[in-house]
Amino acid sequence: MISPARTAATVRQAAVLARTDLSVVYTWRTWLFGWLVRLLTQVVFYSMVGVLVGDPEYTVYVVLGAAVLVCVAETMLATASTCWDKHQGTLGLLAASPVEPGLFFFGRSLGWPASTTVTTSVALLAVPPFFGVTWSPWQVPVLVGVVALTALSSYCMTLLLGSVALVFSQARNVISTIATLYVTAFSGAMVPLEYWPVPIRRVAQALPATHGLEAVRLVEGGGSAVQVLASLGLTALVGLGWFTAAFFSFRLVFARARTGGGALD
Amino acid sequence: MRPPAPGFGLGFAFQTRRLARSVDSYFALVGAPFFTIVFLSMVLHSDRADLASYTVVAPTLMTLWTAALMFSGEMISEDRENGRLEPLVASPVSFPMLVFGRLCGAMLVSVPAFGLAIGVAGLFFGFWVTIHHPVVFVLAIAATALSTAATATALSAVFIAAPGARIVQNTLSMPVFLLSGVMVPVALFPGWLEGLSRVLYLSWGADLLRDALAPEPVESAALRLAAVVLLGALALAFGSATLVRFLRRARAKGTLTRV
Repeated sequence: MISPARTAATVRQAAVLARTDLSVVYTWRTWLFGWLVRLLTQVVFYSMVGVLVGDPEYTVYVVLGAAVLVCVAETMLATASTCWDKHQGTLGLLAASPVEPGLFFFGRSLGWPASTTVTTSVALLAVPPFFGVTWSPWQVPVLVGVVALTALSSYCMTLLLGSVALVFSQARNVISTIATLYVTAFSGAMVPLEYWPVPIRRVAQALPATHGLEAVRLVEGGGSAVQVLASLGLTALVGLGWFTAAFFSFRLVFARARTGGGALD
Repeated sequence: MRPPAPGFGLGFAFQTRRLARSVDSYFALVGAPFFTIVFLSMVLHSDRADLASYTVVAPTLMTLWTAALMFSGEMISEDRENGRLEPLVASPVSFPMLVFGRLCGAMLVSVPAFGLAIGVAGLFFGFWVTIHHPVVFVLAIAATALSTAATATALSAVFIAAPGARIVQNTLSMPVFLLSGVMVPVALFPGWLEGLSRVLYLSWGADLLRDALAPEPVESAALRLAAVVLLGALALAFGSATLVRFLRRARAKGTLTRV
């Protein structure tokens, strides 16, 4: 049994790496004028397809979906950052230490969901008004909260992919790209889930973005607080499920590594 | 006077051989089927089957540009890490032509990308693309691929001459997809933005490819092909001049190892 104090300490210490990495990867200028601009143009790019087909109502549907997908695109970077310890040669030290790997890796890339909360909030609040959406002041904090939870939940999904990438690190970018594009296509972001066959709809229920997006659509469309909370509950629940799977997957990877079974090579 | 062709041919042959074994080329291809699914589901959901051909053009061009960004960012620094850069620079071939040849080889990735896009559209959605103007289509895809390689040569030169610019490598994908109208024609943009888009060779290539798939006659095909090639040639001239200037300075100062 891991004590809450030890859990918090592990996550906090690992998060020091996340903060340091983020400050190495970006300066505030490159984050603002490079990364954020790239994500905002991604939202506009998809939204313009709504304009192309000539349906303003559908354009609103797409712009909200595309904005929430920023969450997925950015948190997916944790797939690569999970492998950074391997490339820096510190993974062996981690495997030799008594650290709980799932908790360490949860803290290790926390910079991405933090950055994602800001970028997705900006995307969601700034871009849709150009495509016919108006936000009331009371909706702003609600949307930021929805985004924060969706980012954290999506991050938990990425952690499981990161544990796989730790073993197949050459394929880390392919894994994250496929996952991002799968969510883009099949989470109800671009077309309603009803468009797809039943098996795809069922898989979509396991995606945090599906439920986070539903909550955003409910906030925009005047859904009740109970409906929004229900979607948020599902977002948190699937996030917890992904984290649990990642937790045990990291244990498995470390157990194999400690017996010379790979991942450290 | 060095003949430029050997550099080009060597680079092209080298990259073509590497293509099948390179993880990077598969990485560039991964997006093509998914983007086809995303775009095609969007237009079919909106009952706009008339736009379905757009959804195979866009993933092909997106793959081209993704490959261009990837290879232009890594190619020369990889040569340096593998110890190839110094002998290549010392050899009697044109280095810019070698880079351009390699990038042209990398652009062959557009062939499987287009195959994947039409395969996904046909197999998953029952929409089989008809190429109504095959000659224009082949010329347009060849010109666009060449100009992409030329632009990637210019990017390579910028990345090597100003390493700080590498930071924008990952951010250049979506803005270029949007501005060059790979999916949504730039004619739908506001006038000032359309003007800006016309500076990008990709906007001319995207329009021409879409028109080559449509049953209506293609207007001013030769002129538009010339625009694609001309913008590519300008990028190649800029890239070559930058590379030559950089290498001359690196030789004089002995800083090649710092690339």
